Amino acid sequence: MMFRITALMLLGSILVRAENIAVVVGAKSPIEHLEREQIRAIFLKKQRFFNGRALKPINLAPSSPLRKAFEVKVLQMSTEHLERYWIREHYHGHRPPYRVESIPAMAEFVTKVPGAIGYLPEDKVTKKMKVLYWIVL
Amino acid sequence: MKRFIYLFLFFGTLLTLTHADEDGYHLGHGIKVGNIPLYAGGYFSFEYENVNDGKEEVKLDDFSLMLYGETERFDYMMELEANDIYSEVLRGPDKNESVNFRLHIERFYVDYKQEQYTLRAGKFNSFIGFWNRIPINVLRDTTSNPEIVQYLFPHFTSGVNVAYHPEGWDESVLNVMLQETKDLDAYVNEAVYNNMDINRHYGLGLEVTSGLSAYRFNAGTFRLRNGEVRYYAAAAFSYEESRFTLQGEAGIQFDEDGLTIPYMGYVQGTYSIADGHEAIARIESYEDRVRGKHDTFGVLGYTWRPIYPVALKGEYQMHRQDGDNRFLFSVSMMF
Repeated sequence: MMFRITALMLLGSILVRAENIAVVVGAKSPIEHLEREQIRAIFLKKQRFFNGRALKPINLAPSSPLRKAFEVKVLQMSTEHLERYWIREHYHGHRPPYRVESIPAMAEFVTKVPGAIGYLPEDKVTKKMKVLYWIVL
Repeated sequence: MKRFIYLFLFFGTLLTLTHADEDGYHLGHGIKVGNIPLYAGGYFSFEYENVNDGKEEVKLDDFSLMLYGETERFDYMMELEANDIYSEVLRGPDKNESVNFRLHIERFYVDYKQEQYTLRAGKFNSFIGFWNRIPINVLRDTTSNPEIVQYLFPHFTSGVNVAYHPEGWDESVLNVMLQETKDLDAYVNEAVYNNMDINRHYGLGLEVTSGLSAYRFNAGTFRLRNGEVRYYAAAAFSYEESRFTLQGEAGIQFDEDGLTIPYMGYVQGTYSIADGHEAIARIESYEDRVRGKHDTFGVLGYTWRPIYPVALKGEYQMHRQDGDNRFLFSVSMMF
């Protein structure tokens, strides 16, 4: 298991060209900063609100190297472990985060949809966004 | 037996079809219905049981369909289940074959969510311990359920649950369950299905998570429809590493005249040998004065999941009385 996680981290690092990953929300969001544990809880849909406002975590496609790096660094879960988690949540009537297919779609979603929270490579962060957490690769 | 084989083939074919990786569908994750927040899914299981000194039985144990959805403030779930659709006792004094297509309300509830509170109304799995929260064959560790899940407290609650998430308490929850009516399924079916025949349940529960460990504490009272009132208290722990999980639950039950279940519990270890292969060892012990039974027994099991939502499980139970020893095998799937 440790070997797989290490391999995934290495793969993720290479494929995203060692750029840091920013966890972002729209510039108008009232959220200023989050801890890794809070982001994990939001993306596992254990925490659904922040200061009374609903959160909408956004994922990239499962094959995305950026998503893989995010899952390993922030969620600290392997692909198999996450698969198991979401199948169990299916029994509880809960769905995984909404998915977009590309980084530009992620950027657009985060800037336009209130409550949306996503992750982007460092060079895709714009002034329309607020960085809540840096994932250093 | 012919019917059992046909049913097995039918569901085997269903498994193959649903495993086809069509766009947007992945086995075990359900499927979206239309353009509204509504999803459909379900599960089923085939079981074979061979008791040393008694019956030998095959059955299509569960067939369940779920419809559910999520919105910003509301979640909803409806689950209908047919139990023992087909069963055939191959050996023993009750040798027979039976078919049953009656549907039961397994779960039916709506959640209203706020930042620190979730209010649930309807019929739902009682928020007690670990096993009772994910009790279906395909997701649990062994084909059999521990005794504590079946006899200590009500499996389901028909009423309301208030879950309070204290601020700053990472993943900790306080649950208050209130039921003051008969089981929701008892309104549409004569016999109570998969639950104690109760018309009251008041329960309190505390869930605490700390690193790799999690703890659950529960206490409550329920009233059977024959008027008997019982009380229960239970504690549970779980320690989970990447390959190994240790889990245990224990409790007592009593009424106004004294202890009805002085002790009941299990400790179970599961070890992941390789991806999809798991070995399970469980020790259970109980004294149940209502049923006049007591036992201490071991369960050794092996589960193979070619993919996570499909489980092939074998287990052998070694009881105090040799005649109670049994072998169980099941094939189950979530879709």
